[in-house]
Amino acid sequence: MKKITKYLFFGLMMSFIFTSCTKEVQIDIPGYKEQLVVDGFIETDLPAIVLLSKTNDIYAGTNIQNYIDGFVSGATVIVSNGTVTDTLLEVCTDNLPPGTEETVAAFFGLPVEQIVNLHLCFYVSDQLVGEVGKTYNLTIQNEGKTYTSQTSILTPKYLDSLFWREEADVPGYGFSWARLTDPPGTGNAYRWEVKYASQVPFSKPFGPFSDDRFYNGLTFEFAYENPMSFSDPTLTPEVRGYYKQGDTIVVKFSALGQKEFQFYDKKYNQIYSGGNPFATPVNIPSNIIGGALGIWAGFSPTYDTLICQ
Amino acid sequence: MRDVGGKVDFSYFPNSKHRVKWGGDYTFHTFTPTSISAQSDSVVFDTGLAQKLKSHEAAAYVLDEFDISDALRVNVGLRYSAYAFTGPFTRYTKGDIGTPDTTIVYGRGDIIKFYNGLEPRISLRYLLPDKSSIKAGYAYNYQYVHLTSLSAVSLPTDVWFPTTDLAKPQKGYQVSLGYFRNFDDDKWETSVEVYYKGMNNLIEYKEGALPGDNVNDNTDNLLVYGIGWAYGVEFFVKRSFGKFTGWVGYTWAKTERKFEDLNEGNPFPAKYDRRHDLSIVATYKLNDRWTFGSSFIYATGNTLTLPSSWYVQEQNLLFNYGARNSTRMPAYHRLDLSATWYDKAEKTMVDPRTGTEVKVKKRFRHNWAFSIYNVYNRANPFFLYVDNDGDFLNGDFKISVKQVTLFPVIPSVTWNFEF
Repeated sequence: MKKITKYLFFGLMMSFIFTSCTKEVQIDIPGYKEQLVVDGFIETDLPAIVLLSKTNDIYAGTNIQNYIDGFVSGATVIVSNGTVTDTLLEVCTDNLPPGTEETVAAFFGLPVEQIVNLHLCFYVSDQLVGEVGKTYNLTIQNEGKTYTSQTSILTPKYLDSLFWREEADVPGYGFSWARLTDPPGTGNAYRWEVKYASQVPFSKPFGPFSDDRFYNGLTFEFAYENPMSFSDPTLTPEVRGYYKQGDTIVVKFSALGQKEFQFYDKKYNQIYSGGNPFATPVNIPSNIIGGALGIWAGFSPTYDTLICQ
Repeated sequence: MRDVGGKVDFSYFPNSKHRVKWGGDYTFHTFTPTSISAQSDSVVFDTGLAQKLKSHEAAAYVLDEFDISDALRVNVGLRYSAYAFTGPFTRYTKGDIGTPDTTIVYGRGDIIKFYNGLEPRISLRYLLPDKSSIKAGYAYNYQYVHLTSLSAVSLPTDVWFPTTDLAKPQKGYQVSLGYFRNFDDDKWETSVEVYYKGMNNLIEYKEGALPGDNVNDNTDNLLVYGIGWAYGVEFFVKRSFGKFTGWVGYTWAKTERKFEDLNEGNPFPAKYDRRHDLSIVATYKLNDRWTFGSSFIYATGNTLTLPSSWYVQEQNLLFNYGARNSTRMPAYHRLDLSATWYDKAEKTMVDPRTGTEVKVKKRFRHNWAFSIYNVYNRANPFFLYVDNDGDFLNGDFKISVKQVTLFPVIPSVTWNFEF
């Protein structure tokens, strides 16, 4: 019976492939409404940073100018940890404090030389920094509307070990490996980021977020590829994705809450399934109350330096 | 989904005015909604057990069609249905974050939940003196197997799911009223019929649910429950006599659903909500050898949910989907033509007794059917999806809506024979 089902499915798929055709169509997609998008986060020992932007109609051009024009300035953004209430400073890229250009350019994904000539604004706290175990309430007032959210910085989770393992068929190259013991109790969620020791911004590999629905309470080893290598034009395709023996990297392994994880999990699911007609496109659940999209997330990072040898 | 079962029906005619039928059926259902496994090196990840859902469904019915008078015929029936959702089964109850899930394990054959109910039905036909009639009907039904689709999936993917302790049986009632009239010595049949259908305990996946979300969980924990209604009017005209025969059917309908947990609690059109549905079928019999046929269908496009806006988070371009099923696919319409050539039904033979030629029916008959499917090569939508391509920060990112079409114009020749 299973064989018949397999053959039937195979036959249907083949007839589908050989007889179907795909074309671009213009159809009416109703329901667009402009919404505020919040991209806010706070990490241990770092100030809160909030970027605000607007949604665009699906048929609006996805060009860089629309991206630049979408950022919101003039909003009131307040972060409170229960004892300190901080109205965040609005900082714009054409008036950055010296020495922050490269970090800010990485936030926006634009070159330093371009960003200092643009007026892109974001909000940063100067009265508080993230502390483990504290909860942070976010309030945004913009164009007469108020949006709120809450996040926490959880107890950090340390990797048991971090090591480099050479790939047998690519001598001198290998993935970064880690050993993790997940605590009992479901809902633990993690983010993996990495950078070369000499770099400023961290990069995210494929699938940087995970939670313990598959490995709750287990001790296990896992590997991550080198995301920086994919944009390095000096590398040949065979070694892309690997760390070279002798590389020194810094791994940033952060704990985050389950609501925040749900946002990132669905976000990356949507990104990875983009353009795939067989995928399940889903809306990304926001933890912002008041009708905005996006996320207000607390991260509790641990840092490990690895010399690949 | 695997079903094993049987049914039995009996008829009894106590007199010329009563036609009584009764019977029963039984089905054993086995559903396997998902099966997942994963491991890394020697560590096998806990993806939960492959969930098989087992249930027993049985029903008994009796109905009587009887003539109260020459003009009034009544068909009244009663069906009793029962359903048992049984083990083996593990019910997961998700705990708060940081606390373990709790499970309840049911053994083989344990009855986890039992449902049953009466399903009455009645239909009336009243003949009017002017060769017309009025028909009215009412039926109340239980449905123990649900059909749902993943919330916003592009590909038309429907999933069968059984009634469980959480997913209650779907209950529905339908009322209908129709006027039927024949013209020109019954050469023309016409009718118009209105109906209304109400449905309870409909299921849908939660907003944003993904197939992998039911790892270490029950599929029905991902479902939400709501109500639905459908109403419409059907027009039908048929010509049965003469060389030129055929029929025209047109339905105007509306089907909506309402779930507290979907679409902000607002009603939304069902996936198969079809405002207009037109069918025209015509056959022309030129002679005993040639028959020509054509059919044309037109249907309002299905509904689906597509992203109505995009936004950027951490330099990633993301989509936000609009109201549920708010987008309408282009309409489906198609014309098919056919021509059929028949060999002669009889052949001439010489009667050996009389020596005269006689015509006898052929034992071997055959015909050739020439047809063209989708004559004007209409690119009808099978499904739509949003495609994106390029690098957003490089400025060459492009969003487009793509339509997948299955069958273009297809000519065919068929040889049929009978003996």
